[in-house]
Amino acid sequence: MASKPDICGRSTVVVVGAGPSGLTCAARLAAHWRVLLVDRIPVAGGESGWQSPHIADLVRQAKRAGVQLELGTTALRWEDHRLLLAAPGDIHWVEASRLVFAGGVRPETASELRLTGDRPAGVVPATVAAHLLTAGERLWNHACIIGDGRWGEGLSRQLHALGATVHAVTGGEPVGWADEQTRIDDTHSLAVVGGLRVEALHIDGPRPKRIDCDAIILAGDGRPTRNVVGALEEAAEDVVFVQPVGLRTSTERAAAAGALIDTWISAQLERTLP
Amino acid sequence: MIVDSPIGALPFEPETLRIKRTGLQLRGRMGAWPAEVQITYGDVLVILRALMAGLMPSLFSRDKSHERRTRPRHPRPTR
Repeated sequence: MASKPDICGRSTVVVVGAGPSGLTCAARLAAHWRVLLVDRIPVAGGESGWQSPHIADLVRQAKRAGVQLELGTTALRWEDHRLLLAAPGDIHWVEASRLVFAGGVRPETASELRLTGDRPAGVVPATVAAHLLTAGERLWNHACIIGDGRWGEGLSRQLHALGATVHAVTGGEPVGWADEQTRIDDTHSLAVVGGLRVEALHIDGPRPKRIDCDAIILAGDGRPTRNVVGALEEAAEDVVFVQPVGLRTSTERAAAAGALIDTWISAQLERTLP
Repeated sequence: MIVDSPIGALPFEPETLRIKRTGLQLRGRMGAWPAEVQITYGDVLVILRALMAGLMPSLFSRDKSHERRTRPRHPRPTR
């Protein structure tokens, strides 16, 4: 096999995140460079889950392309073309020319949603709520979901299955997945009401409203997750961020990531050609 | 085998089962991570009891159906 070209004198590209985006990027990159794919979870798939047939297919493609998988390993720090990795019983650096960060997206935080007021128990990000509800316990009776990101519909389904009611607080279009919906815009402000536990969500605006609830779930549009020191900002040196936002299915995310990385690969190859 | 964990459901693939003085040692992999389950003889009893409790009703009902099928019919009373 012909040797693969170097970028900055090193031929390895590290991809962080083995969800649909990371797997797709890794397979495409492996046609040109040595690729190491890492993920903190010991199985591939990320939020899409290792049991998904689409993920199994992407894993097969990545392996066939020669991608080296290092799963169950957390990327901690990117510095001087080296990535610090930690796995159970092992911590080590790997050298790489580029870091492709495909760490997925997270829901908006309370401050990003401009949610003020009290700080009782029961205000949770959508990802945490989904995880808690998967255990099958009815933790809440009346949940208020803020935002219509990719988590809202699935959470509502889980809550309904456990006998809870759902009130959606969203901007934009009506949603079909909630029992009730309150639409808000930039003129509204949101505040949590509660002592030890959430009692209500207060919406201030042209027509103030109180929504009684025992949980407030933050499910606003996804924001890129950034958790590797040295690769937090868009301007981070020799880091490529592949975190398509606003897409709901793993197929859509894989396609968007593939288009992004193909553009980047073309630009790199043009630069390295004599 | 699938194990529920704080980071979600993970596959557990058993590789070896050893009989030790203190019980059973099941070694395998949870995805990329090596994993080990130590089962004491006390645990074995609990598992067996739970299995029996799960199996007994079905065995019992099967016996009953068998009984129903083979029980001789009482002659209808004649008028």
